[in-house]
Amino acid sequence: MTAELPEQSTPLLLEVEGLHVAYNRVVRVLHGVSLAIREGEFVGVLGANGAGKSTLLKSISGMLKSEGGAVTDGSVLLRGNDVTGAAARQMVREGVLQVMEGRYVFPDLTVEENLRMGAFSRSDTRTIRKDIERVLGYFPRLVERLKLKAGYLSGGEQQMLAIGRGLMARPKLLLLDEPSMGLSPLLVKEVFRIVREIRENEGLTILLVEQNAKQALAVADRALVMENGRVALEGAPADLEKSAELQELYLGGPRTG
Amino acid sequence: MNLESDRYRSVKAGNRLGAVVLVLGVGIASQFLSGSQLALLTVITIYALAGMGLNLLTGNAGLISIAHAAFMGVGAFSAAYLNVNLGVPALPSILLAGGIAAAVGLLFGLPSLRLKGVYLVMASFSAQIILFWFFEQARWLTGGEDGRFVERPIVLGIDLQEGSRYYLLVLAFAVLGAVAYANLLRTRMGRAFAAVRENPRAAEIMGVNLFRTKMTAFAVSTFYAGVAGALMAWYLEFVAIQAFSLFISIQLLALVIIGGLGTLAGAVLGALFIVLTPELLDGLALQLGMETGQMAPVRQGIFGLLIVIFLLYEPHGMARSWRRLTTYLFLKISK
Repeated sequence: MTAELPEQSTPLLLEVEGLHVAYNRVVRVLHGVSLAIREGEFVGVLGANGAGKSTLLKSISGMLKSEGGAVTDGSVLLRGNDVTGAAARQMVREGVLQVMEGRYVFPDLTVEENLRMGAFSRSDTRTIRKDIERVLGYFPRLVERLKLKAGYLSGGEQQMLAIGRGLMARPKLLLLDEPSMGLSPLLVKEVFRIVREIRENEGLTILLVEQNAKQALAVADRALVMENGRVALEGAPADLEKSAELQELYLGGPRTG
Repeated sequence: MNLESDRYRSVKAGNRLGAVVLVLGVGIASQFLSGSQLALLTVITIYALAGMGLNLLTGNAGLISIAHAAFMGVGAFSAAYLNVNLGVPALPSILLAGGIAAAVGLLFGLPSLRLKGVYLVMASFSAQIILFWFFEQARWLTGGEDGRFVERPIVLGIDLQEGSRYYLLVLAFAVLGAVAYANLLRTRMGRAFAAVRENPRAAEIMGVNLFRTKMTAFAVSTFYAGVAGALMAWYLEFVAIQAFSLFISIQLLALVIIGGLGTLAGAVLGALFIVLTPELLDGLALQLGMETGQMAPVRQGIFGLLIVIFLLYEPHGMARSWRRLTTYLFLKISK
């Protein structure tokens, strides 16, 4: 697997090795998932509902425990250090942050308060004001809604706010969970355009989980396809797009021509 | 946008000025009130303090308790025992009573880590039952069913037998409580409260320590209740355990909901409503020539009806109406 990584020169940021995860000790969701991400890479994880994509993200971000899940075997390494089973607040401080779907904004807090909450774990509070401006640069729609309660935003705006709030933590590794969920095709396009822009400007490493295979393959450097808690396919987006299997499963019918 | 925030700032400054005027006014007026008026004012102020504590927990951190009267009871009997039986000076007794209530509150707050919504209500219900049972049994502390006397203390050399003097002590604690409340909301912990209330999962992912945040909410909230209970014990002088029953706990919850969840003004306005409405209804009955005995059941009914009407038409509580009114008046005047 290591041989397939594009740039051998950049160091490994995240290594997931033979990860097994179960909920409530009985519901086994991951059966030995392995992946490695180099610094600055953009990796997409595709797969159908229930394939274990979100569970994979949660086991990296430290959100597994609060849902009754646990790693039963395997490990998660961050820059070579074992962080298997670490709490979310520890992972945030290490620069690993999961952006949950838009409905996880704080509905009764204003857009600005939501963004500020994103910086909760940071100790350098003097630059927060500046960071809010920087983040709003990516989401101009949110500027005029700063004092509005997040619950009044549209689905697309909430999704943008969720991503912006995540950026406020100044992560090194951003874990994006289904940013296209529940959005119209036009909005999906816009969100993905912004994600690409963020990646270029911020020099982030991104692990994206997405059902919308077409969009994900368009932005990622490399992609994995998960099936029933295992990695079924892995490769460059261009190769995966050609793969007959993926065509059938996620891109709507066999490829013609 | 700038103009608007300037305006917002001056409304805020106006509120602060209003609060200072209110406190000074109430402090001065309390020295001239009749006995029964002073009694009402004292109860309102103590309930406002307890309401602040419950509002921190329920309005700000989103954790419901129907055991806050029991926590007041813990504070009341702790202060009485410390001061009267053990001879600890009054001010340390009050603070220790708050501390003991907070320790008990922490213990009964532990289930909140796993339970939420109606299940958490049931957990606090059992806290109320257990503590009240303890009050009934611990005759050495509470006098059991018979109640106990609590002599009013001498504070910093001032004898507080006189109700109007005692009120100034109550008012001082209420002001301290209010200032602490307003400041706590501006801290990191205050923001953690809001995040946990709004969405615990999202709060966790932002790096909020759910355990520490919930436990802090319980500790601070029950500290307020304990201090309010201590002040209530000395106000009553004869303390019956019924002052800390489930009914009072539910009244406190009604207080913060009607007053306005999560706001300082809500605790004060809610206390006014809870204490004054029954009084006003009694006065009305007297005007109509009814006997007090006849009025009692009707009074409860009307009181309940008023609560429902409030929830339907002003679900954000009296604090919201109050803010609308003051903002409106301020803008009118500043034009």
